[in-house]
Amino acid sequence: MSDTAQKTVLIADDESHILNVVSLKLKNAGFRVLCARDGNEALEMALAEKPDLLITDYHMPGLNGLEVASRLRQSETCRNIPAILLSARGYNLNEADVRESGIRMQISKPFSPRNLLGLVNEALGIAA
Amino acid sequence: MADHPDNFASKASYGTDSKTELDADLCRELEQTARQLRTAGAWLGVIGNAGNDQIEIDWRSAVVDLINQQADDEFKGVRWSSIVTTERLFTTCQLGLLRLVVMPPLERSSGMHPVLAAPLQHETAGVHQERDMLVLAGLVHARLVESLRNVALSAEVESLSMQLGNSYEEVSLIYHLSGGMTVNQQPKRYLQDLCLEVMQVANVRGMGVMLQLGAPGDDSFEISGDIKLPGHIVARLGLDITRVLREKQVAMVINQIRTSEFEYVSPFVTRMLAVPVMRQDLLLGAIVSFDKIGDEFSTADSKLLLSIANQTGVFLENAGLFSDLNSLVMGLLHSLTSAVDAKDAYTCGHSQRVALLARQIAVQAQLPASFCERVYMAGLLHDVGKIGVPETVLQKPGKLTAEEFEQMKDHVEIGAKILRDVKQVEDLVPGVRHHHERFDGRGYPDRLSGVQIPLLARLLCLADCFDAMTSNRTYRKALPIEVARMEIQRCSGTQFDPELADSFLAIPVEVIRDTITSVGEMPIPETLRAPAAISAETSNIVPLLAA
Repeated sequence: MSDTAQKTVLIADDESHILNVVSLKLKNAGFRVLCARDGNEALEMALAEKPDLLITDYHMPGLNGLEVASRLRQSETCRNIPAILLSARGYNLNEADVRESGIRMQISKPFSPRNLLGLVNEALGIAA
Repeated sequence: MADHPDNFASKASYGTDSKTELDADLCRELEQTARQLRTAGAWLGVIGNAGNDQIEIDWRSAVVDLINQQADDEFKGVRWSSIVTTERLFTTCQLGLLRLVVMPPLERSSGMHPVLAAPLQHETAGVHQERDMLVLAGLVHARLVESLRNVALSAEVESLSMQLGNSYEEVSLIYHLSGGMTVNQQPKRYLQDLCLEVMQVANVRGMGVMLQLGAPGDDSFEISGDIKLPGHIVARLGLDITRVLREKQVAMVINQIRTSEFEYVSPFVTRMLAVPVMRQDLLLGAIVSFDKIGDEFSTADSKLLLSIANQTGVFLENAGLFSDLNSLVMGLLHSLTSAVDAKDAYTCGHSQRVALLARQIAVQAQLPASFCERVYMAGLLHDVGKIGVPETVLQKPGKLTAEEFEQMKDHVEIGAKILRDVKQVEDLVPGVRHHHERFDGRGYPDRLSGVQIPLLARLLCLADCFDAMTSNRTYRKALPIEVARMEIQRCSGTQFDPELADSFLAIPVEVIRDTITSVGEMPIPETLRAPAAISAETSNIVPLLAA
């Protein structure tokens, strides 16, 4: 777990149960976890803390997940932070919008926390 | 003295035998508070009744250095009942050189009372001291209660999140299952793949699947994961599980296999959970989990496995219905094609060959596999409209009159009408209707040109003409394949889509020969043989006529 000890993951979701489940899973895997409850808070925290990875819900008050990701893309210091988008199953986002925002991976709810952890490791280049 | 919570728990002893252990959260809170109080000149500890009215004492390690010896001496011989008058009150007392406030016990302290201690001051200062210490003790106590409540709440949130996380895994698994099961899939293969997922979510060492019990060749019991059973045991276990499930029709949970009727697998497996896959009252198969890691199988485990089994049952039922319906429709369509073939014996096998050839061209042109299969179907059906064309026209030896040719041309629209209302093939209608259009716009029925002509129709046109040229007809003999290929090349861009023509010409001659000879051709009666071979020069009119 030593190679993940330094990595910080920011999770943004307005549903606290998602935040709790995901942060517990990631904390148990040795990550430092930050939580934001809406898009604006997520953007502020990301700019201030410069996490190694962003996991963001699509539907949030304020900025949505794609907007948060694309705003980060515009920041000099945060443009290379990889992002994973959580979205409702069956809710079809425009592929081009998703690509445009710099989102590399998507996972739809209800998701498996185990698979999400796999994606996180993949995004951060950590061998599972 | 090391500043470590372990010290507190281990030091919680003054009496002869300590039976009290403070939990880690409480120790942490006490320690933190004690450290802060120390800067204000006070010590925090806990005391409890060690039995026999003896006092059990534990000063927080951060402060023991100074007070430990003193407290030890002061408390020796003091009766528990003399300092704690009632469980619920804050009590002040003096012990030797110390002034104490004994607080009510905390919820998680197993009867241990927090104690605030300070060096005793006398007279006026002592009165103030007593009052100040009571106020301080009240605040300390309230803070400890509050912190412990928060600790308890966050532990509860954590445990709920853990459970919720497991539910997420299960829900996502079931979504995955229902989404991944499509009717044209091998259910057993799919289930075995799925088992690898279930093993991780359900935390089991191995899983087994049996499906289509009684069906020849597919009723074996296949086990995946970290469970290795000898073949004869697997076979016996499969039969026994089937017997029990057929009788009971509910989940079978065996947490002690050694004392069960499955005792013979106990060298390999310690626990087992088996659920039936049912289709109404019929047992179709079973899904089995082996050896939950570190725990017994619970009702939650059997519920998860049962919901997977139920979905599988519904899926198998649907797959069965789908296959029945599909074969009904296909049977009807084949009858229709046969009816056409019976009417026009000279084109017998033509539909089959056009289907094969058109699919081959589609594959060569790298069109999607699902589309290639529709092309095959369209090939079989492309001439069904001939059922509405008089036999005298269909079977006429020699050239058709203009009127007869018009009648012949009707077959594309008749075919489209017949197929329009059959849902399973309605997507093929444009192909059937337009398979006599020409790329240059001189075909029929709508004189479409270029890519206006549906792709399916362009494919059928090519295959249809090629087969017409290479078959014996009432009015001429079959052309050699090489000659027919040259014709295709020559008419590329006028009659045929040039790109498709290129794809067709890229298929090796031997492959085409094998394809068309693989379909049996009815022998043509001698009297109806074509009088003479048509020369290659005039053969380009043949495709138009050879409908």
